[in-house]
Amino acid sequence: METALYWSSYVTHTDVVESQPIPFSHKHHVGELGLDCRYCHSVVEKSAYPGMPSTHTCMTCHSQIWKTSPILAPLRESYRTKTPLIWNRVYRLPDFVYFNHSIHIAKGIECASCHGQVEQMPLTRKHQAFYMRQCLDCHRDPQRHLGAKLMDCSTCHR
Amino acid sequence: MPQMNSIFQDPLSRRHFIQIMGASFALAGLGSACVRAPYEKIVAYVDSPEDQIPGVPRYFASTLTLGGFAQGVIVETHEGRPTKVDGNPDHPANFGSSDPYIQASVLSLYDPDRSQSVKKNGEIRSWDDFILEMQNEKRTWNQTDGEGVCFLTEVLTSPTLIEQINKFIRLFPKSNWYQFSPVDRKNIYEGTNLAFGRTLSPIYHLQQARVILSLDGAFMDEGPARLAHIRQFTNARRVRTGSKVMNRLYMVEGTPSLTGATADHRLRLNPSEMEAFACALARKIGITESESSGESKFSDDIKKWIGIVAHDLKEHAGRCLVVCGDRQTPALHALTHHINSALGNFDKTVSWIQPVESQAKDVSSLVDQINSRGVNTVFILGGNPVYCAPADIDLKTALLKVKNRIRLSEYPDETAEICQWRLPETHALEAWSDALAFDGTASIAQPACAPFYEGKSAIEFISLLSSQGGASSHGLVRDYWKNRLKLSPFEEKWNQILRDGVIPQTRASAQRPVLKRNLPAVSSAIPNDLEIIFKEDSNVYDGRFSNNGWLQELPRPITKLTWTNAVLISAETAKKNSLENDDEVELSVQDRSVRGSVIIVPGQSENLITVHLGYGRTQAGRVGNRLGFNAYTIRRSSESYFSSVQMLKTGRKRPIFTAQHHFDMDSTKGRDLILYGDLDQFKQNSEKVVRTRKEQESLVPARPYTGAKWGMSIDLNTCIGCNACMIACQSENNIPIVGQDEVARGRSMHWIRVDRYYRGDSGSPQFFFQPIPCMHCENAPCEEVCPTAATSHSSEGLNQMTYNRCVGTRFCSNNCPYKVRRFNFFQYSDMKDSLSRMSKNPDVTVRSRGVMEKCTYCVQRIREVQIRAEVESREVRDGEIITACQASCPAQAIVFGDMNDPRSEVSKLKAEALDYGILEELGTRPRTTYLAKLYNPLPALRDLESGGG
Repeated sequence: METALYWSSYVTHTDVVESQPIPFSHKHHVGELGLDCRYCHSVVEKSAYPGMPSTHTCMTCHSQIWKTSPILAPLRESYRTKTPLIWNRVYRLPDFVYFNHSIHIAKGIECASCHGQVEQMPLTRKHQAFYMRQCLDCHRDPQRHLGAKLMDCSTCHR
Repeated sequence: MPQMNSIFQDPLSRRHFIQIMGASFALAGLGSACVRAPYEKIVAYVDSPEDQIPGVPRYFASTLTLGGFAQGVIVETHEGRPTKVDGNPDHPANFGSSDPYIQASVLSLYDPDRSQSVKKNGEIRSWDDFILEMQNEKRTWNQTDGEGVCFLTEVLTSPTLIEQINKFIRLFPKSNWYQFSPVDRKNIYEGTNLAFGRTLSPIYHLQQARVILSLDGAFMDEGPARLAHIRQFTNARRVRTGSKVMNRLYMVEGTPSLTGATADHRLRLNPSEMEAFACALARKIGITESESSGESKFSDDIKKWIGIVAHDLKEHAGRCLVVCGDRQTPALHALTHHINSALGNFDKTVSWIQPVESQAKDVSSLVDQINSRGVNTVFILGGNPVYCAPADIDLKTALLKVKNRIRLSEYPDETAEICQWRLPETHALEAWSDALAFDGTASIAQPACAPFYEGKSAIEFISLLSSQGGASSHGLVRDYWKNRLKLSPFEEKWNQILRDGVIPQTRASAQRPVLKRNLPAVSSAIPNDLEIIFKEDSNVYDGRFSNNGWLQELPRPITKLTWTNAVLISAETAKKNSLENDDEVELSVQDRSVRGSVIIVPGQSENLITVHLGYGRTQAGRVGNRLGFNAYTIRRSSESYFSSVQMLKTGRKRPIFTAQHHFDMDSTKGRDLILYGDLDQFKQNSEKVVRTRKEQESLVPARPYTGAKWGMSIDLNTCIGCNACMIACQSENNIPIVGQDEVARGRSMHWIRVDRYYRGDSGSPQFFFQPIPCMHCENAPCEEVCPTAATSHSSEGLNQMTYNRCVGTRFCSNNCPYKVRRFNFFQYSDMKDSLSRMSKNPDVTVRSRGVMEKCTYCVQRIREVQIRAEVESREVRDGEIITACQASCPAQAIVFGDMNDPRSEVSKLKAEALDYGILEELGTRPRTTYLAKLYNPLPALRDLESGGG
C-alpha cells in the first residue's frame, strides 16, 4: 500500500505538467523547428548541469518573431526590467546525489534516455520518476558498462 | 563522561550553544518530513555572464593580509559565491600553500555578526548622512589645514591606501597619521639601526643554510614570511633515495613553538637570557673578548652547548644562519647581525631590503597629541586599537576626549563601541585593494563577490573624505598602478596581472649595508623572578579572528587548547607553586592583573609563563565573546614581548578545553605509531628506523584493481604540525563546528586531525606531529560491521561513506582502530540559514543529525577530475587530483595519487625505505602511510644532552 503510494504519480509527479511563467513548447521548438537541445541548454556538455536559457537567448529570436504575442509578455518584461524568469523545476534529484550531465553526454547517452521524447511534449512534464533503480539499471548493464567504478557508491554519493 | 543530552537539559547552556551555532552556521534545522519531494524553482539569467558555466567553479587570484603583509590567494567561487580560499602558487610569500588564517577567511565573509549598516550613536543612518556631516567638517578643515584631524590605522603596505592617506594629508597638511599593530616589527628595525645605522628588513634564504641557530625566533610560526620559511626549510630536509641530506636546526627558546618542535636540538632559555647567550656565542665565534655578566649564570652544560654549536656554525661559515626572534630586543637583533656577518652569511643566507610597510607615528604619540594639543576628529581604520592597546597607554580615555570619533571596521568591536560613527568595512574578498609581501612583491586584492552589506573599503573611505563623492576601489587601485607601472598596452598587461595575482618585478632590491664597528651593549641583568611572554595566538592572532568558529575550535598545535587561551607553565613551575591543570591563577604585572587557567606544557622553560593574546573579548560577536582572558590588560608598551610577572594561585578551578586525548590511538602502550631515528643511523641501516614489512597473511581474498588505486603518503619529516590541513579540510568538506561543550565531550568533527606526541622528560621532550586522515584500509574494519552497507569499498580502493544509507549505529566508529570517524550527535550543520547555505561547497553533501562521516580523500575532487578527463578522452594525469589537505600544506608533506601507476609520486614515496603504516599489525593494510621522521643531531651534542641535560 505504502509502496504503491510512493510510486504513484501523486508523489512522483510523473506526467504532471508543472505550471510555468511561459507555456514553453518543446514540441514546437525541437520537434517542429528542429532546434538542438544544446541551443538553450548550452552547458550540458561542460557542466554537471545542463543550464537554462537566459532571457537573452530567447530574445535572439523573439525580438524578431512573435514580438507582440501576449504569451511572451513575461519574457519581454524580464528583458526590459532585467528580472530573471523563474521556472518551476520538473526534474529534481535529492541533494545527496551528484549527477553530472557532461559525462553522460560524452559517453553517448541520449537526453531522451532519461527525459523521454521531449520533442513531442507541447508542455514539459516529467517522463519518469528518478529512482536509484533506473540509474543502476544502466550502470549495471554490461552493454554500456564503462568500467567497474560505475557501481561505486561514491560515483554519485559524496 | 557527561550525560549525552545534558546541554538540552540545561536551558542556559543550550541557549549559548544555539547562539554559537547560529553565528557559525550550525543551527539545528528541523527538516519537514514530507513524502513528496519539495517544489523547487530554477532562476535563469537574463544575460548569461561571459565565461560563467553554471556548475563549474571559477577561480580568482587575490590577496589577503595579516599585519599588513600580503599572502597571495586563489579564491574558488561557485556562481559568484566564494567557498574556498587557497594559496596562489605564483606568490612568493606562500607558494600556493596556506595557513589556518587564509583557509578560514571565507567563513568570516559569511559571518552574520559583521557590521552591516552605517550607524551613528547606535541608530541606523546612511552613507549620505555621513558624507553630509563630513562636508560640514571639511569646511572647518579647509580653514585650519586639517588641524586636529587624525588617522589611526594598522601597519599598512597597500600602496594605493598609503597614497590615498598621503593625498589627504597633502590636502590638509596639519592632519596626522598614526599607526598601531599589537604584533609589530619595531624591534627588528631598531636592531638594524643599532647594527647598521639604518632601518632594514632581513630576508632569510633558509634553503642555502645547512646549519641554523634560532635565538627565540619561531620563524615558521610567526612573521610575514612564515609560509615561505616553512617551504624553504622543509625543502632542505626532505630525505629520499638518492638525497639523504638534511639541514640542522638548533633552537633556543622558552616556550615550545612549531619551529622549536622541529629542531634537532632544542635548548630551553628564558627570553631575558637570550642576550647573554648571544654574547657567549659571539665570544666563541671570536668577534668579542668581553664576557657579559649574565653568562656566569649559565650552567656548564649550557656553556658547552654554546661551544659545540659555535663550532658547528664556524664549520659551516657562509652556509649557516643565526635567526633572532622578531620581537626580541634590538640589542639581540644587532648582535645576531654581527654574528652572521662574522660567519660570512651576508648575501648568502641573509640579505637586506628596505622595510616595505608604512612608517607613521606611533599610537602613544596620538595619546600625547590628544592630551596636549587636542584632537577634533579621529578616523580609526581597521585593527582594534581600543582592545589591543598596551595597558600603560590609556587609549580609550584619551579617545573619549575627541569630539568626532569615526570607526571603519568589519565588526562592531570594542573600538567601534566608543565611536559615534560606526561604518561597515568590506571583507577582503569584497573589495579591490593591493598589498606587499614580506619581500616587497606587490599583488592585487581582487574581490570575489560584491559587498554583502553597505560596506566600503578603507581605500574608498579615504577617497570619499578627500574628493567629492569618492571613487570606486576598482578605479583607484587600477589608476594607481596605471600611473606607476606605465604599461603598454595597459589593458592587456593589467589583465595578466589580475590573472596571475602578482605584479612582476616589484620585489624590493637588495641592500648592502655596512656594519658599525662596535658591538651593541647588551643588558647584563638577568632577573631571577618569573617571566611572562605575550604571543599572538596561532588561531585568533591578535583577536581579529575571535568570531571565527573554525579557528576557535581548531586545537592549538602544541597545547591542543580549543575555544580559550590559558596560562602556559612548565612542570617545574607547577610543582613549585603546587598548581595543576585547570587551576586559576592571578597574573600581575606592576599594578595590573588578570586571571586565567593554568595548563602545564612540556618543554616550557622553568620560571616562564606564556600567555596568548586575542581572548577575553567583549564585542567580538556571538562566537568570540567571553572566552578566555584578555592578556592585553597586563601588557605594557615598553615590554610588549616579555616582562616580569607575579603569579598567585586563587584556589579556584576553571576548566579549559583541550582536544588532547580525543581519538586517542595510543592508549595501549607499545604501539609504534611514530617511527623516527637519526639521519646517520638511517644512512647506515634503514632497518634501524623502519623495519621492512613482511607481507601479512589474510583470510580476505585480495581485490583486483584494474583502474586506479588511490593512496596517500604523509611525510612526518617535513610536517611541522601547523594545522593548515585541518581547516582546509573543514572548508572543503562542509564540516560543522560543534561548540566548546561538545568539544569537551570529545565530539569535534575534524576529518583530519594532527596528533601530537612527546618523548622524553617533560623538561626537554621531543615533539612529534602526525596528521591522521582516514586510512582507507584495504581490509577496513568499519566496512565489516556496517549493517546497512553505508560504508563500503570502492573499485578504486576508497573506503566510501554513503550518508543516505547511514542509520547511525556507530558500529563502524567503534571498530575503527584509527578513530577517524565522526558522528553527528546533533544537527550541527545549518541547512536553513541563507548565509550559511551560501558558504557551503556545493559538491559535498551537508550531513544531517544521526549520520556518520569521515575523510573521503576528497572524492568530489577525484570525480571532478575523472569526469573532466573522460569528457576530454584522456587519462587522469598524476598530480591532477589534489586533496584539500595536500593543497594547503606549506611543507608539501602530503601526496595523493594512484598507487597502480608505478611512476606516480605517491608510488615512489611508498617505495621509500622510510615508508610505514600505522597499526599495520592489525592487518588493515592502510592506504595512508607515513614516511618516518628523521633528526639530524650533532653527535657531540647528543652525547652532552643524553649525559647531562
